[in-house]
Amino acid sequence: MQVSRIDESTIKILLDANLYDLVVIQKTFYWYLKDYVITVKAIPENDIQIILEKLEIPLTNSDIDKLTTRIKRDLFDFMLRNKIHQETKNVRDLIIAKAFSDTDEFDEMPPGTLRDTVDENKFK
Amino acid sequence: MQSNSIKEFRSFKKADFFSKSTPEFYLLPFRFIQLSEYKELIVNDLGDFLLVPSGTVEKVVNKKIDPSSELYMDLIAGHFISETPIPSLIDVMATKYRTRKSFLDGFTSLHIFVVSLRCNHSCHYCQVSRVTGSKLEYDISFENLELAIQHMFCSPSPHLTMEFQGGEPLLAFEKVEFAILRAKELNKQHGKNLNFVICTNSTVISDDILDFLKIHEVLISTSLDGPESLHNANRPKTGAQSFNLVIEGINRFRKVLGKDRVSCLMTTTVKSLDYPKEIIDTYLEYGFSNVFLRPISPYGFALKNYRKNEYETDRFLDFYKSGLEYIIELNKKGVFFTEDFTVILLQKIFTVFPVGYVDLQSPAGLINSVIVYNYDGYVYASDESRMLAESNDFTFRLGHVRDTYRSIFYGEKAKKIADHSVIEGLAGCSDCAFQTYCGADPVYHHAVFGDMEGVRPLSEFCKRNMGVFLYLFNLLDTRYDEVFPIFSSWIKHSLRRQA
Repeated sequence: MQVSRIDESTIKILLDANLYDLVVIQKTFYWYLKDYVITVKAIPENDIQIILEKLEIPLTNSDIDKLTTRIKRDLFDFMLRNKIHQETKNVRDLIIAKAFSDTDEFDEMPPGTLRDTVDENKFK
Repeated sequence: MQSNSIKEFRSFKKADFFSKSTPEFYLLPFRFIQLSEYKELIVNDLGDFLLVPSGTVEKVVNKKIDPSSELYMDLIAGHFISETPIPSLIDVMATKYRTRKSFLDGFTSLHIFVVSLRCNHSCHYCQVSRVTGSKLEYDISFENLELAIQHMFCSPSPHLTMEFQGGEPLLAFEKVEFAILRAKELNKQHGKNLNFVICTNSTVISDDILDFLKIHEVLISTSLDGPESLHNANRPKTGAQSFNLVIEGINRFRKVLGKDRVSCLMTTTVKSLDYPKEIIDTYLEYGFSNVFLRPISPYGFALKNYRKNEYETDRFLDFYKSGLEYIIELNKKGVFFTEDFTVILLQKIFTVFPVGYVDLQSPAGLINSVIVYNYDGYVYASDESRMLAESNDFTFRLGHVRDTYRSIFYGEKAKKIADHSVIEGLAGCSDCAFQTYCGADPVYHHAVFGDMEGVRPLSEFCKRNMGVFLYLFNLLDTRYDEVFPIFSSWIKHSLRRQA
């Protein structure tokens, strides 16, 4: 991640598109909308450029350092969230389908029989 | 006993199963947030949560958790990871999910009847455009009231609550009387569990009214904003001091109906923010064991006077935290007293049972849980929706009582609202750790942003809820032994009342 100042209230961030999904970038910078005008665009050499323009007071160098730390942490968190989502979306769909199914279409067959729900007879 | 004679039950795994050095596990859906420098909070769709050391989520996602650790067992038990691609307890998980969403089963159960817009108070934060007591054209007609009651009985819910609001509903008592008697008559065919609530300022009471309310077991919800000076400043009334009248009214209601049938709500104005302790003391002094520290809403007259009532969410959160700390101290001294918003959230956090609080539901409580029949016969998706209509915004007007039940409850407007009511699909909410416990509130976001979804980083609704959730989970993390017994007693008390 490369961060550079454009003017007193604007910074430019370059991210490697091979490392960061666009959805991760969008979800991360969505939370910066309160304080910044944000522009995201793809640029040559497979980079993504993000321009953050502060809405109120100018950015000091210290602000930029803190902002960079925050952005790195948020990008990392949203990468984790994306990974969780990708790995678990099918199970989530299954849980919801089972939860709202009005029939036993999605039910698993319970062990044993009605009179022997733990199948104890099998071991006698 | 020889080892080969030990019966094997499928619920127990053999010892070598636990000695695997590199177990494979699979992630189950969950979300997380950094709670503090040292702790992360992880929450799943079922409401199960774990407070874990910072960096744990990364280890879980990268499958670097020691299988012999307590954390591993907690993650398995809490349905955050599974040792099989499809967890063996998936049906249990589905049942928990279904229970959390079971408020949808009955569809609309709370039916609000605005019987009159007339009022004898002139509160500057009032969310409806109250009119003076003489304008009879602001009362609902008997014809529209009858049609509204017919709609109510079309609801599939086995439990129906008729809530009478205003203005001041007791200024149009003949309409309340008609509605209750008519509903009881119709209920002979329908056999619903029918409840009645009147939201009143308690200043318009007669012996006849009290007798009727007692016979029909009506619940009273009234307004008490805090100590005398604060209440009277918030709720001016021509010719008399509101506070004394309200206290007198509460006492009369309690004497006839019973103490537990009278409840109070307060509204937090700018003035209130400095007096959390005094507000709670007033509630205690007059025999209440709970208070709802609720913020002002930007609708109707409240929006017109919003500048006067506007305050930073941070100030409200300070007010809430001071109030909650004071209430916790009271409980530690043996005084049972609860804060209603906290109880709602705690019940959502610690149980799977839905809470009848429409602001924090997904899909949102509009239409699904509540509907409003206004004094002019128009039907609105929620109480806040009709308040919005008082400033000429009819976005959430679903139709008129003359229209069919289907066109009102399942029409195009209802579908459009439903599209924006599911928190699981909203930008900002879809990844939020508190999603399972929170709600969408399309009316608030429409009122503030002009669209039903809004922008979460700019939303005071989001900021406030997030602030309260973070505060509560931090209390549970850092002061568990002190606060959990108190919170637990609140949840048990709340569940007993709902049973």
